[in-house]
Amino acid sequence: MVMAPETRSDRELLEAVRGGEAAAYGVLFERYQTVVLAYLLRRTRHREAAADLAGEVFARALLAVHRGRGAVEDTAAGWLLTIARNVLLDSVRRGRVEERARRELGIQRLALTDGDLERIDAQTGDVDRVVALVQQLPESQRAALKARILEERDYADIAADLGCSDLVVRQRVSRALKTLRSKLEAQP
Amino acid sequence: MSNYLDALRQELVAASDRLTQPSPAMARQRRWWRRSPRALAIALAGLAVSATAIAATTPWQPLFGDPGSPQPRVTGSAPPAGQLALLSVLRRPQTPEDRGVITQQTLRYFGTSTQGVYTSYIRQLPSGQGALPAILLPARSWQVPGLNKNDVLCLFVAEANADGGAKGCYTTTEVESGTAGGSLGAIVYGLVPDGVAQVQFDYPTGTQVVAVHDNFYEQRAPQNTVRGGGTTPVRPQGTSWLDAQGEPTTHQPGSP
Repeated sequence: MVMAPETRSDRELLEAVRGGEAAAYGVLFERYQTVVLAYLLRRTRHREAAADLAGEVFARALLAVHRGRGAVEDTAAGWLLTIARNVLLDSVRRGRVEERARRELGIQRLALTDGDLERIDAQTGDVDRVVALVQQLPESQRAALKARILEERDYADIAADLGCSDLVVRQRVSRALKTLRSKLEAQP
Repeated sequence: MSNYLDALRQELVAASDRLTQPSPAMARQRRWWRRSPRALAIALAGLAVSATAIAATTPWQPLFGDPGSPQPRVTGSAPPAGQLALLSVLRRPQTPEDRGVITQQTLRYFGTSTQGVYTSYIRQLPSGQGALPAILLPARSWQVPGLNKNDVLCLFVAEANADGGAKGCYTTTEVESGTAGGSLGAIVYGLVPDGVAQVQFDYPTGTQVVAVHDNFYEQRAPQNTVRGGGTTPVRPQGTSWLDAQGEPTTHQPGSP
């Protein structure tokens, strides 16, 4: 039985990176590039700056991983967004986009083309749409969806937390996903 | 994917690779020290600072056995993918309890017979019978006289009201076939793969069903009295794996 890299949790990927599996960091990057970009874009409203900052965020996170730090939770989203916030604040204080981590790692600052900017718009636009639609879900469905999809918790565990049966949690997650799917399909 | 993001991903992966590979520049630095005693002094001063960073990247190295006894090799990497895929207890994050004082007390029962211990994957199991919790400890090998196994999942189950317990190491195949476990006094215990929520034992006197938590079960079996006044667990006539709905799982113990 072989597990594809994509099925590993963020925490497992970070441990693999520390253990010398460099490609695992590529998987983590692909998993969170859009989330980090969307976060930075919403705050800077500037695509080039957001992309540049995202490079520094992932470089700073990589240095942290190799120094024995990393996500405490099973998902790295919160940890990466905390780094994004710090990189953003440091950049605002200095009046220019931070690049210390990239310099330390020997990573060149990369130029963006018009095509890159359009693709970033498309990627981050999808995130914004999904976030907005999730906010419209009933609270009970939103809680079940967050626990199951974002936190990857077992149904039984979620049921115990929410004070209902496994079956009810499954129904809420299923209804939430169905609602999201139909609304996304209905949008142009 | 965006060309920019693709290029950034490649740069990051390459940088990560460089961080774990000794570079030619580092080799040159070593030769450089020999030529310059002053450079050596500076390097040693720097070493004191960098030692903290190095320590932070080394795997968790708890004490095994007794203080002063030889220690097994440990590793900060992950167990084989097959084991991670089989047991959700290994996929969950390691908790403070998994590394806690009680676990460390239990690790005194492990020595150099286990090598290549994946310390980030040591797990405390929900055990209610022993004086100490049961422990799951994955390791690259287990070697005792007459037995040598690779890629093992070791279990330690503590004995109730006594100092000691039972230890055994099992392969992935043994977990899949339902033979990863044993008995300790009246307690029958074992490791089972994901999807098994309950284990059913069929005894001549009736059926007992025990819940599985963290891929682990333990059950107080009916006892046979033996000559001399002791007891031994009754051997079940059959064992079945059940899912969360109480239905038999597709894969059953003993099936290939």
